[in-house]
Amino acid sequence: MMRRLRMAAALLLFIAVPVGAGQYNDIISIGDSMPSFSGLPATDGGSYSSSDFDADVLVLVSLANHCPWVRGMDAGLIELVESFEGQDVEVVGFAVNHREDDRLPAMIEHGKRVGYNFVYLFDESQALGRALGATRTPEYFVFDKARKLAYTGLLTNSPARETRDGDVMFTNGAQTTFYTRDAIAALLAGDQPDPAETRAQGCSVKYE
Amino acid sequence: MMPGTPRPAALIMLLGLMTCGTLPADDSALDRPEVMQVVSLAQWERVLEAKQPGIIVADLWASWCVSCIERFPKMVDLADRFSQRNVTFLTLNLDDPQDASGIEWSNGFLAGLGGTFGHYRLDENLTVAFEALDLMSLPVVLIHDGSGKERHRLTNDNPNQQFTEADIEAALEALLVGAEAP
Repeated sequence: MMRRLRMAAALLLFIAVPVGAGQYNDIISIGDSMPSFSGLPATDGGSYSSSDFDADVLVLVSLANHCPWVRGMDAGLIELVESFEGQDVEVVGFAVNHREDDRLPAMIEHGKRVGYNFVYLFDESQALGRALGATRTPEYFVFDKARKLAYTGLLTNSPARETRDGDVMFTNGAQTTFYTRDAIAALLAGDQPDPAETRAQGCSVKYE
Repeated sequence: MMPGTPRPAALIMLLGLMTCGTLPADDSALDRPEVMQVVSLAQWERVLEAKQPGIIVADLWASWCVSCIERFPKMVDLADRFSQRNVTFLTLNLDDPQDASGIEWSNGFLAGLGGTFGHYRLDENLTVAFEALDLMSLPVVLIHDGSGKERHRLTNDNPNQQFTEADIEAALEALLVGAEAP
């Protein structure tokens, strides 16, 4: 009995599940606290907890190697990280799916191949993904210094996808609005992002 | 064929998908005639209206949606069984109208799939389609009752409420209790 209670308490501590739901998210809302996580393995061989990231702005992004939308927007993600180099911003990718081509060995290979320049975690328990309500890849979650959700949704106004021909197709033509980049910049300037939510577009995440 | 047993053609498609790892590259799908009827959003509404009175299951999918493709064999089985009970199964493809290779693949996939479906493709940009149909991700299964009312919207938009084919079957059985009553 006590063991069960300790396990339940540990789970509650591990996942500080936010209350409510956003416009495009059934679980988390703007202003909710970031779910904590611990001991997630990364493609760099390390193991990370939420307390390891102390930047003024922390961006979590759900990814999946197999997903054509992720592959189509890999370059944009890498560019986003580069654009904030030297500033107090950290970007952390995480993968949730259990399919072989999305698990850690494939994540390592994919990250090397495309040049991921950020920490890339494997959320095998899917607890982080569930607590964030992350149901699409890619889906961005931008947290402020107090680790409150300030923006969630798309990278830009023209999501890109890898086609069967291997080309990258932008859904709405040239990208003109960079939601995630602008949200980060707003937080660094002491402002709130506007919009705070957009409808993420991508592959669905498979929860076991 | 036992319930739940995928058709051979669908199984071959699925096997190709799994062994490929990412999106299946089925060159045999190229240059096939259009299997899907191309519709606008308004025309899609009229398609649904024309099927009344009758229960409709609409499976929304796209060639880039691997989980949509993986679950298709189970939908074929459901369609085979429930079409005998006056349930209409439709597919609505959301491949981008500019994505020729995706559309060609989808036509080839459906041609080999079998099942008693009506196949449609939405001639609309994905962002516009998602806004208009209020979608978050694919797959989505919509179930309309005999009056045309959307009674069930099965999605994977909540990590804690992911739908399965058992949910579709349960929803249909519940609707059919009323529809089949003497």
